[in-house]
Formats: sequence, C-alpha cells, structure tokens
Amino acid sequence: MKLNIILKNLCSLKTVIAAGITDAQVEIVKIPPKASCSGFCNNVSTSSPISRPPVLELPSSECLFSANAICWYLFHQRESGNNTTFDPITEEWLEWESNCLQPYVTTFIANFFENNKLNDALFSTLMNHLQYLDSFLTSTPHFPRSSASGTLPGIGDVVIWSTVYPVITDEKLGADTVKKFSSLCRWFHEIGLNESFKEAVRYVFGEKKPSACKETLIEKDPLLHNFALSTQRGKLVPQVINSSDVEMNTSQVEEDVISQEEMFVVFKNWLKGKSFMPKKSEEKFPILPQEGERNILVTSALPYVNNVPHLGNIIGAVLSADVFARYCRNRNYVTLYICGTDEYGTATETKALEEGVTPWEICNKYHRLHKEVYQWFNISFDYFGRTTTDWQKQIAQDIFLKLYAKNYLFEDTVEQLFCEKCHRFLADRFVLGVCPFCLYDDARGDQCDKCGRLINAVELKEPKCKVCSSTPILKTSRHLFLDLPKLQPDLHTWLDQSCESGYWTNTAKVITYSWLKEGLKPRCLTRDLKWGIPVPVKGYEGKVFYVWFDAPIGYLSITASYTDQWENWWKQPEKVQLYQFMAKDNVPFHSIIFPASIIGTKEKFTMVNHLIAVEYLNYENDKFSKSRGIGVFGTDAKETGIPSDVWRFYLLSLRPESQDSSFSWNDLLLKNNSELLNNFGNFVNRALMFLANNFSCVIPEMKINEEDKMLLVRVNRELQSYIELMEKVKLRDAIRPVFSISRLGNQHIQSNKPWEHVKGSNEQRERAGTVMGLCANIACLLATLIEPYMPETSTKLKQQLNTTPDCHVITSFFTCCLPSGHKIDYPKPLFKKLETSFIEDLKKKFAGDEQPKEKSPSKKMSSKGGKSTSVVEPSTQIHDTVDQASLDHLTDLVAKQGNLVRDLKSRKAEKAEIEREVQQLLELKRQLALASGKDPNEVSGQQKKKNRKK
Amino acid sequence: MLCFEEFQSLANFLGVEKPNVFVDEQWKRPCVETSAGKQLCGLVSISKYLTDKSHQRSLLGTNIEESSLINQWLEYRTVYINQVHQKSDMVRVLEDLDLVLQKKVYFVGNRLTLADISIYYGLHRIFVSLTFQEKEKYLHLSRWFNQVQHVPEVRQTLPVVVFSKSRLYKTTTL
Repeated sequence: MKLNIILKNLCSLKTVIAAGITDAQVEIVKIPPKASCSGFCNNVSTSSPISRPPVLELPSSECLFSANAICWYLFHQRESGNNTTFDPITEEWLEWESNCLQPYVTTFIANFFENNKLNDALFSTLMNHLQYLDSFLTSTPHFPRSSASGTLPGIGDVVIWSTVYPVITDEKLGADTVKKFSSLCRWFHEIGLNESFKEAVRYVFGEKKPSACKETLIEKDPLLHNFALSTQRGKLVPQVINSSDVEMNTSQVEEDVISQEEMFVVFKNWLKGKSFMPKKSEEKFPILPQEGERNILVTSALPYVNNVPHLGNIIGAVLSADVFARYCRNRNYVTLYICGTDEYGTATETKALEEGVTPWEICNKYHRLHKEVYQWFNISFDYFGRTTTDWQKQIAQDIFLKLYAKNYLFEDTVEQLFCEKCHRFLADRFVLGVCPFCLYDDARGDQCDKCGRLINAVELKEPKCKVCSSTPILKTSRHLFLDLPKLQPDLHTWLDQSCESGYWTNTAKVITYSWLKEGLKPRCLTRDLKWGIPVPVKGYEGKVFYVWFDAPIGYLSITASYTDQWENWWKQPEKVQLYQFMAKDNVPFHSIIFPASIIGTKEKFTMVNHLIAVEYLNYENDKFSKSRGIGVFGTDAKETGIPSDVWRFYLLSLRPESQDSSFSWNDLLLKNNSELLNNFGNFVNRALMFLANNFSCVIPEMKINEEDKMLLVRVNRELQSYIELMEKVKLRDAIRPVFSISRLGNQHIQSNKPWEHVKGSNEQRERAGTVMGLCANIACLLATLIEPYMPETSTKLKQQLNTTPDCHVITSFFTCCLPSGHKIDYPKPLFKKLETSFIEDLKKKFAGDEQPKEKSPSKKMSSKGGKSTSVVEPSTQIHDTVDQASLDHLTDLVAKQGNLVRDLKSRKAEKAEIEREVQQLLELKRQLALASGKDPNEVSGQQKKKNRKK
Repeated sequence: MLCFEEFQSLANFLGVEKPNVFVDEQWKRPCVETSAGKQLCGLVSISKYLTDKSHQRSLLGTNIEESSLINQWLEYRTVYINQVHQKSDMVRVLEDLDLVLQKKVYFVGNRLTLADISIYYGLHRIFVSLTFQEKEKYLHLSRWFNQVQHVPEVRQTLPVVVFSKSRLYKTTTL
C-alpha cells in the first residue's frame, strides 16, 4: 500500500503518525506540493479534496482521500473480520474534529498569514474549541482507545493531536494563550513523547517550525475557508439553493483583486464631492415626457375593486412597480406611476346584489379601502384612479370604433338562457337543472356536482333560474368578436421586437408565446350586462364591453384623469419606455389582447416595452384564503404593529420572480433581526453614535489611506451591481448589494477599532475620525439606495444625517456628500427587534380555522380575482320593479298611523287601545320595508332596489 | 432536509425506532440519546449509530476497507456537501462527485451503502434547484441520484427529482 503525502502538511502528519503507531505496512511517498494523486482521474484539479494528498492507495486499488478515514483504516486493519464494535465516543470526536475543529484551525492559520496578524474573532472562537477539548481532558487522561491499541495512543489521540499541533506549539499562533488549558497541554505533551509522534513530526516537518504548515494551507480549500467565515455556519439546515436566490450571507471570497487603477479612479470620484452630483430634478405637475430625458411610464395591474388585497396581490404588482418607480425618480428619470381600481364586470354586479346596494356604491367603498391600504404601504402613485370615468368610456369606445371601422371585429350569435321573470341573461352558474349525463337533479350550469362533468347551461334538462326558479328560455344574442387570428401576424412581429429589446420576465415570454403557438382564437368583446361601458354600435344597445377589453385601457383613461395631456405619454412610443408590472395570470391580456386591439387601430400608441410578471406568493406554503381566514389581508398588516417598511422589505426579498415563493413569519422575524437590525441598522447606528459621542456630531477630517481606498472600491462595485440589477428590474436581487455595503462597513469598523484609537494619540484619533466619517458617508449612500425599498426608514436616516435632496441622486460613482465640518443630527435606532413570542402570536392569528366558512374555493394570489373567463356573461341587473305609487301610499299610511299613536300617547288614552294602534303601526312599517326591499329577514329574488345612482 | 427529518427517514428505512433529536447549541449539531443512556452528537455519528443498531449493519461495510470508504464519504457529506451555499461551491462539489461516479455504480462496493443514502439526503436540496441542463451536465451523478431515489424506502417523503435528457443540450460525454 502506498501512502502519498505532502511535507509540512497537517493532514499528512496525521496519517504518518497513524502509520507509525499501528506499524502498518505502508510505503510513504512524498508528493510535490502542487501535484495531485491519481485516485480517480488525472484530470482532477489540485484544489479538489478528492485528489489532494494525503491519499492512501488501498490493496483493492481504491483510494482514501480523507485523512481521518485513512487513520481509521490503519487502526482497524489489524483487526480481522467485520466485527468492529461501534464506539460512539470516538465517532463523535472524529466527526467533531473534521466538521468543527479542523476547518477552524485551517482558516485561522491561513487568515493569520494572509493578514499578518491575529484575527480576534477567529482566535476567540478557536479558544472555545480548545476549551472544549480541555474540559474533556480534565476528566479523562486521553481519548478512548481500543483494546488492540494497548497503551499506545488511539485514533482519537492521533487525529486531534495533529490538528492542534501548530496552535499549541507555535507562539505566533497563540501558544502562550493556550497554556491556560492545562489539561489539554498535559495531554498534548504526554502524547507527544511517543516515538512515533516524534518521528512523524521530524519526517513531515523536518527542521521547520509548525507554522510552516501555512504553505500547504494557502492552497486552501475555498469551501472550508468559506465555512468558518461565513455566517451560515450556525445553521443545522443548509438552505435550499436557488440559482436566482438572494444570498443574504455571502462572505467575501470571490476574486478580490483590486488594481491600482481602480483605486485611483474611485478615489478621484470620492474627492469630487456633492458639487459634481446632478441636482435632484424637481417634480412639477403634471409630469410629462421631456425631450432628451429618459421618460419612464410605470403601470401596475389594476386591482379588481371588490377583492380585499392580500400580501400576494401587493407584491405582485403595486409594490414591485413602486420600488422601480422610486428608483427611477432617484435616478432623475422623468417618471410617471399610474394605477387605479378596475371596477366594471360581473363580480361587482353580483356583489352589489348580495349586499343590496348599487355597483357604484360597492366601487366607492372598495376603492377607498384599496387606496388606504396602499397609502399605508407608502405606494407612491402619481395618480390612483378608477375605470368608471368618462375618459374611460371615451377612449375605450374610440378604440372599439376604430377596430370596427377597420374590420377587425366580426359579428356572431350566441345562444344563451334568459330568465324572463328576472329579466336577464343567466351566467352558467346561475342555472340549475338535471344533468344530461347522470340525471342528477341539482346540477349547476357549468359543472355537475355529482358526476363532475363539464357541461354548458344550454344542455341542462329542466333548467331553472337559480334566483327565482322559473324556467328560462333560450335566446340568441348577437356579439362582436375581436378577430385575433387576423391580427396575429402583426402582433407576432411586434412581440418579437419588444421581447428582444426589452426586459420581459421569463414567465411573461413563456405564457405569451405558448398562446401564439396554440393559435389565437377570436375573443368576444361584448357582454349582456348593465354595469360596463356601453357598446357604441347600432344594434348593440343594452350591451357593454367585456371587462378585460376595457381594463387595460384603464391605464390610459386614468392618465387622462391625471392630465389632459395624457397622449404625450400614451401616443409617443419613441419617447416613452413603458414598464408594466403584474402577476402571471394577467399576462395574456397585456401581451396579446390589448396590444392586438391597439395594433388594429393602426394608430401610434405607446406599447409595453418591458413586461414584468411574477409568479404567486403563497402563505406559509398554503394559499391565501379570505373565507378560511388564512393569510394577511388589507389592513391586517397595519394592525400587527410591524412598520410598513419592514413589510415592504420582507415582501420584496420574497418576490416570486422565477418560481412561487412563500410568506413565512419565522423568516420575517429572521430577516428583520439579522439583516435589518444587526446588519444595516447596527452599522448606521454605530457610525453615527460614534460621531455624536466623540466628535460632537460633526464629520471630522478624513485622511483616506490604502485600506479605505480598498473599501471605496468594494462599495463602488456593489453600487454598480445595484444599478445593473435595478435597470433589469431584478428587484429582489438588488437588495443584496445594499446589505453587502453595510456589511463591508461593519467589517471596516471592526478591523479598525476606532473606539480604541479615539482615546490614543492625535494621529490615532484622526484615524478613528477618518474611519467613522467615511462610514457616515456610506450611511448616506445607503439612505439613497434603500429608499425604493424602505422610504420611511430612508427619510428618517436622511434626517439624522441632516442631508439635502441633492445628496440622494443615484449616480454610478460613490462620492463624498458629507464633507468634514458637516453637522449631523443626534442618531436614533432605525429598527426594532421582533420577539419570537410576538411573531408566534401573529402566526396563530392568521393561520385560519380549518372549517371553511363557505363553499368558496381558496384563492391563489392574482391581481384580478373573480373575473369570469367564460365567453359570454349575461346581464345580472334586475329591472326596477318597485311600484313607486304603492310605496308612496304605504309611506303615507305609516306617517298617518305614527301620528295617531303619538296622539293617543299624549292623550294618555287606554293602554289596550294604544297597544292596538302601535301594533298596526308596526305592521304598516313592516309592509313598507317589504315593499322597498329593506327587510333583513326576508330574502327573496324579488328584491326591489332603487335605481343605480349616477 | 432537516436533521430530524433525515433521522426519521433513516430510521424508517432501517426499521429501527425513531430517535428523539435535540440540538447541541454550542457546536450546532444534532444530538440523540443512545440506548445506553448516553448522549451522542453529530449527523454522521448518529446515522452510523442507527445503522449499527439495525439489522442492516452491512450498510456500514462488510470489511475494513469498505467501512473506511464509507466513513470517508460520510465525512465528505458533512464537511463539503452541507457547506455548499453558493453556486461556485456547488459546481465544485457536483463536478467532483460526477468524476468519482464515472466508473462506479455506487460510492462504495457495488451496492447501496450508508454512504449513498447520506449523500443522497445531502444532495437533494441542491438537485431540486438544478435545471435539466445542469443535471445533464453531471451525467453520472444524475444517473446515480436517480437510481438511489428509486430504491424503495430511501426517498420517503422527499419529492422526486425529475431527470430528462434532451437532444438540445451538448453533453460532455457520449
């Protein structure tokens, strides 16, 4: 057997000792340091652990590359058979050595020789390791030995001794401090007296000191090096890796080559100062595209009015768009962010029916609710409107008529069930009857509950209107269809060009092209409804537009409500870049139907350049469901007491860009406490508190040295990364550079120890001042970069830094905006810690009860829930059957009776008589209530309602 | 896969009693109480302990050589695979393992051992995030992974990772 080793290598030492102790029949071969051993393949690189010596070539020609496994083999090969008893203590120590001790020692020594000094944090953790060993060795003389070993050291002794060898024997590496671990040192010394050990050390290290092992360490294993430095170390569960995942705890092991040129340029930019920064452009109303500027039009999918928004809806569209819009403003782009509620459609009409009010009233109520929710989340709409406006009617009808004139619409008839009593066309779900297949007598018009087959309402036997139970008749209805197949070629051309030149998310492209591949089918653009935009074509009176036709037009009409110069934005494609944000279920309407309609008008419209669609956000791996009480909705977020900035940050870190993601309370807790509080908040607060306490809130003189310049370079790199990611609308990834910058800041403070220096000589004090002044400037940069994500926090920080808006334009270089002499305000903490118990309570609160309250299915997040996608929807407006005359009459009687009763009471008439008249009055009042449809106890299909208010 | 979930699955597979798992805060490792009433810590140690107790001790190797090799791979699982948190680390690990499996059916000997099971559990989280193209790149490792995940009782509650070869991608071999 051959044992291949490298000299001056700790792992090799281990194996040589083992070979000696066990008197193994091995031939020890010295391999030059950079070569690898052919264990598996000659192509393996030297840095790969599976081919790096020490390697033991076994008799069967297999190879062992793990030093510990080699030792194990050598120790056990003396035993015959396979009856090795399992010794838990030794197993545990060997595992601890390979997982905890060795990587740490390696990193510690490597770090020491790289930086030429002891790293405090690493050293103190290493001391913990040694303390642990020391405790064990206080009660036992040595590690467990098998009977075969006799009095010789066992495998545990060999393995651990070799690893701690340099630390205990070399003063540079802290041997003096180690002396306090008396049991450890005693054991080490005793074991070291053994001949095999002495020989092995002589063989592997020769005359060199133990620290010579650094040479074979520096060709370090990056994975192990990462290991100790990375804060992931604390996790028992390595997290799932997602190639597009934000790596929140990256340690800096990536190529860190900083050239002199880079440092020079960065430093020059630093010195330029605030005067070289562009002035923050003023926002004047109305915001219109400017010549020579980048004009960015941002829209978010219009939330459907009668759904209470939940977190998934919010991150899907409005919040994402908000972050991007804010970023654009910080870049001094001319930015307009438009959104509003989408109010037409069956769902609103139906809900109005249920609640006994008009659709308009529903819309008012919910529009206000939406507006309030978004206001709390600090969504910076330039205008938040609604689709029920005259502008909407005008623009939608205009487009429709142009399509009609250019023959992109054709007529067709559809057969549908019409209830004469209710006087409306019935949607499939409003028809009950006998299933034509299984003869189940309570089948619904779209699906039979018993046999589950999908049916059309017209196929039902004995159909009945769900509301009034009368038999509907079959009526034909004429409708206008958008000839999508005819528009497909032009649409396809435009799509190819837009997808190519703009940032379409993968989801958006996939969905769009799959629709195209299947072949577009004509789409019915009209409906038999009352609540909608009337169709302006003769013969179509009483019909309205299909809600998904007019909804995207809502963007234009809401802009028109904002400014009558709306066409500057919507009819100048060469000047404007349109970014549209939505969830994936809205994609076909924005990429196919609406663009096709626009193309059909043959006029120049601004069309979407960048379609940003996201996947779904789930709640604790379940779906959001209002009926089951699962998930956080609307104003719930505000009521938790957690600030809106924290919600924003967390939702954005979860933005489902390439696949579904899931909201988790535990994760929110973790991210708040570790990233916001301990990383960002901690850095900023440290820097500013230091200045407040030691420099009276004034930025001191800053003499930038080499180390500072390197920091500047790193910060600049992160800044570039941030800009690059934001421009590509990778909002989730762009969070990473921001937190890297604050982490760099923290590290800079750690390694410079200003709290010590400030007490020292003038020169040292100056150094402390430089470091912290620099950090205050970094904090200023962070305030700028974090603003799109956390506007309130950004404002607070800006106030503490006492800056002007000019400091906060995002440029591609990092410069000194807070020169020496600048006075800051007294700092206050930006974030609060969230307690586990607090979060646990919230988790329970929103977990919902297991019984569904009603049969409504749980909804996944979608910006436009509740819209019917069946081809034609019937009218659900009930004609006013209130007989105004009889109502008046009743009202009259009630008034008269009321007067009579009052009269009797004041006359103090006989009790019995008063009682009789009171009963009469009550009866009249009840009848009046019945007649005007207000009695809550009576729910009949004949609810008589007042006409819709205009 | 969480440690306690892994131990549960392993116990199921081995047909032994599921252990009570708690955490050693200082060294961030899982611990169980052995039947002798002592404490045992460490993913590898506990896995081996469970296997030792079961009727499938051959999973730990039938001779010293096999046992050493299994030890080596178990160590590799915790020291390297579990420490993969970035793409670059992941690539290196997958490359190495793919190379190893070029001429082997299983990691040790010619049959399923604890090494295969442990590495499978360790790699699962990585594999679920790979694209089909990436899986094809690590052809041998994917072949092995697919084989192990289909051994009854190994996969248990973990989701199946789908492998599919596509003529569109240029593969490194064949």
